[in-house]
Amino acid sequence: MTAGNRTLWLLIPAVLLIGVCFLYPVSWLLQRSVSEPVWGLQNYIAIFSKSIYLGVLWNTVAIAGATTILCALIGFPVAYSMVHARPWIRKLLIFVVLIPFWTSILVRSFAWLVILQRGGIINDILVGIGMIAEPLDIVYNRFGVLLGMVQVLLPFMVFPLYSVMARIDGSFFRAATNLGATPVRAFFRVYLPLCLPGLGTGAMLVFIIALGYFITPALLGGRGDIMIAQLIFERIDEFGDWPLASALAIVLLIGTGLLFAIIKGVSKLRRGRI
Amino acid sequence: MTDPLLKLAGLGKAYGQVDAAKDINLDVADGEFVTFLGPSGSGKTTTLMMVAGFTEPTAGGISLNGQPLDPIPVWKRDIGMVFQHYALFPHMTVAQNIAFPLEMRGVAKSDRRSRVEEAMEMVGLAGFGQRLPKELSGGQQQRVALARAMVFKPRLLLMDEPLGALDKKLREHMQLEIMHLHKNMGTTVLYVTHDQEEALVMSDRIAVFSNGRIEQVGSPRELYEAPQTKFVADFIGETNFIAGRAQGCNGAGASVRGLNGQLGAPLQEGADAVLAVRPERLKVMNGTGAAGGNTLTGTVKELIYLGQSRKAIIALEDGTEVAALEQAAQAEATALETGSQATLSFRAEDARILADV
Repeated sequence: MTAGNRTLWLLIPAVLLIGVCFLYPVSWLLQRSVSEPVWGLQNYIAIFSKSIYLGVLWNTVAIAGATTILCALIGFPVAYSMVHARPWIRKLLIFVVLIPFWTSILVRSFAWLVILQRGGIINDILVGIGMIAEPLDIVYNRFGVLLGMVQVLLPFMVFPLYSVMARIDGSFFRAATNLGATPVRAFFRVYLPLCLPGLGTGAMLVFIIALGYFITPALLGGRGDIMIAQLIFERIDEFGDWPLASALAIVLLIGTGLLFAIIKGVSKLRRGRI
Repeated sequence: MTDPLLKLAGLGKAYGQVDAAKDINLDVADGEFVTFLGPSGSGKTTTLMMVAGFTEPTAGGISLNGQPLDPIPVWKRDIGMVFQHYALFPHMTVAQNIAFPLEMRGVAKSDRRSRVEEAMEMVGLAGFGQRLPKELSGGQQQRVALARAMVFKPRLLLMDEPLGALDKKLREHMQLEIMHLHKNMGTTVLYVTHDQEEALVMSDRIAVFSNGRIEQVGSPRELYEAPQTKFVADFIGETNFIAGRAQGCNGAGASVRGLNGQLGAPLQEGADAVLAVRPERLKVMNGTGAAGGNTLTGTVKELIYLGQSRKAIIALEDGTEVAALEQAAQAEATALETGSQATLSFRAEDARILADV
């Protein structure tokens, strides 16, 4: 048996797993999306022409985009502190960032409900101390969805950023100030550009994972915050509409794939130039 | 001496109980090339960082052109610096790196381009402007760092072990290039290194650092020929030490174990002292004859062939080992053999008597 053969044998379990659990169902979905009720692209045309579906597609992109931006804004200072903190503070920060990871997504989302709902902790306190007369609506809307999603997805931004920042030598910043840059200019001209690879990886991870989010927007969002995964579930669960749900799933898959390819292409171009 | 360009007065940096640098006093004249030489942890880099403004002194002060530097932040000091690992910005081209200090100073774009071209030509890198730092060799990166630190015509150029990452041949070549640049541009340079050979080759004056203090400041020749402390004699070049007590101290000379030498610094009669004499200042004779003033006898322990010269290690009766260096032709004439007796002699003016601490 040659070495090449042996490698192929080792790949069999993975190939089987992907084939049975991913490729087969996806091709089954693809087939249903173009063959029912009759052969043709009618399901895709519906998705891209009816305003309710377009609204959901827009919601999905907007929520994923806002989540990504918020994760970047919150994650950047967290990662920076982790790199520059004393070892024990760094360990503590890593632990705090990771806690949501170890908690079930359901528990986490219900915990937010307990905190945010009209009779929840925050509203009780604010009403109790007389700051507000009526409870605030801070859940079952976009705010609740973003809060829940940012909390869960933050580690995907923090850790790529952290690993890139940890490798940036302090002498770059010192050199910039020595050459006449104020600390602010040194940050934007030298430090931030050097962080871009980490920021890019983090943003890609957060955005792509956020695109397919289901439980958090379902529990913490309102009617106006329905994302594509919820729509797919709803079409099947309530209407048994497999063809349209299949078409939506394929749109999500292709959209995500395209995005991934574009980001990869752009970063390759940049690396080629730089 | 006219007013110094740079003045370090009683400069110190303490971290808690530990003094990283203490009581540093030094005047640097305009156009001078001064090297901070010392082992790692001796305070030379700390002192340089205080001049650059990255480290805040806890004692004393620095002035440049008679103006105190302490209230001026790093980015307004107008002091160029070449970092140990160059610190070239990896996301910018060579030209962008060199243009950076000009851009920060608001120099007009057209003016910027011509000055960058000029700087690249000065370091022999014309035509490399569009390359990225990582596409250059170590020596070329070194030149870019140099061009970037000099393009804005700083009042003072600091260099922190700039050649440490290069191999020996390239290092020697770059030493000469930096010296030529220094001569042509007339820039005042503060240069940090732990390599004594480098310091001897390049400097107008050397400040030898040890344990956070300056041990001695002087020209390379002064430091090599007339060290004032045992540390300096030991750190710069190779030296033989013969330990004993200082006797017959008369202001200029003294003796240790009956051997006469010059006093490096005032010494108390009877104090612990060493007589320091360079291996190349010892005259070697075969056998035990020709006794007289300033001679030592011993057994040849080892003969080391060095090509252009030969080193003989000779063990004295008390076990002290003394090295003597002879030019090849002289060494052949002496015809020493391992295990045989040899006599060493030297002139009193070639030996220094220093406090043994």
